Amino acid sequence: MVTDDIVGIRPVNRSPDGSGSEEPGARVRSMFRNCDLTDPVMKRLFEECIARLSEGASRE
Amino acid sequence: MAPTVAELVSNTMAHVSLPSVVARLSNVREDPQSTPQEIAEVISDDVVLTAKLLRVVNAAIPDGVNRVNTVDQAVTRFGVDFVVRVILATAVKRYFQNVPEGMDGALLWTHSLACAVGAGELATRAGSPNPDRAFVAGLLHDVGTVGLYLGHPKRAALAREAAITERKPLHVSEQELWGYDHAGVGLALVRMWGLCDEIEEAVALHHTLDVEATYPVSTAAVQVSDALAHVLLMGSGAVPCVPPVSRRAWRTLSVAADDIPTILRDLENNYARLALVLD
Repeated sequence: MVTDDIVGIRPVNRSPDGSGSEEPGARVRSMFRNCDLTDPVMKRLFEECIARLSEGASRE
Repeated sequence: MAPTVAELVSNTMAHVSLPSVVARLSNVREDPQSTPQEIAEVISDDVVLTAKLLRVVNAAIPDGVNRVNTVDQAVTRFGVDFVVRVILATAVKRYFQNVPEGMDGALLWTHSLACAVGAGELATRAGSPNPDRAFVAGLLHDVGTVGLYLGHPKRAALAREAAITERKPLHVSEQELWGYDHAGVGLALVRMWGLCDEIEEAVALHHTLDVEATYPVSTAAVQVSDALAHVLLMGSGAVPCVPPVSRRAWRTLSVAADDIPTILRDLENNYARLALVLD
């Protein structure tokens, strides 16, 4: 159910030319691979997860 | 050929018992008229757990000043909800300390405790008269995994491996290899231990989406909290996978998208508070 064209979900940490790593966005997409991200609550959980991992990555 | 669930439980965990205080506490807390003193009496009947309770709460008191010597004192100092959850978690924790080879008991315990804390909070938030039942169901929701590893460690490991490589939920790969999953084994164990229908249902249905539950709040609370614990990487393995949650579950608990940050923060804080005294 997790696809790259889920409405309203932008790739995170993609490099400017679009070729770079998508971490932690890619990691979170993988974590949510079995979830219905058209559900607004699940989508918010997905976004919160990205925000937390991004925050953690920027601290490292 | 895989054994049936009944054969698996009978062959591997029939000798494993759950302290009766878990069921008794769950029942006495059902009564809205029950007093903290009555709850303290139930706890005090289990000498071993009482000793552990006093040890862990005293360890949390800085400098040992005004140590507590009785369950009554612990209830007065820490509150009845906290004391009950320490007792319930302590009673269950031992199942995660001697897990079969191939399992990570510490990881499973972290996940189970986080799921319990979240389930208890979500049930309270949704107005459940007895959120302890959601808490206990959260503690035990994955206990069936232990049964699967005890029954056939290689097949259980294969299921985990297939879930990772084929990118599917663990319970799905278990169903493919065994014909049932850890939720079904967990149900058999909880039933064997004589816990109430509400806990049975929440354990049995924690991966079942959009089913009409008899006890919708506890069932939804465990399903949602299981996912929240994975989002917080509490007990997730190297390849974390958030289990699906039904829209019905969010609705049952009256959780809206804007509630998510607060719910995650509360879960982290309350887990840390409980884990601190249990470690």
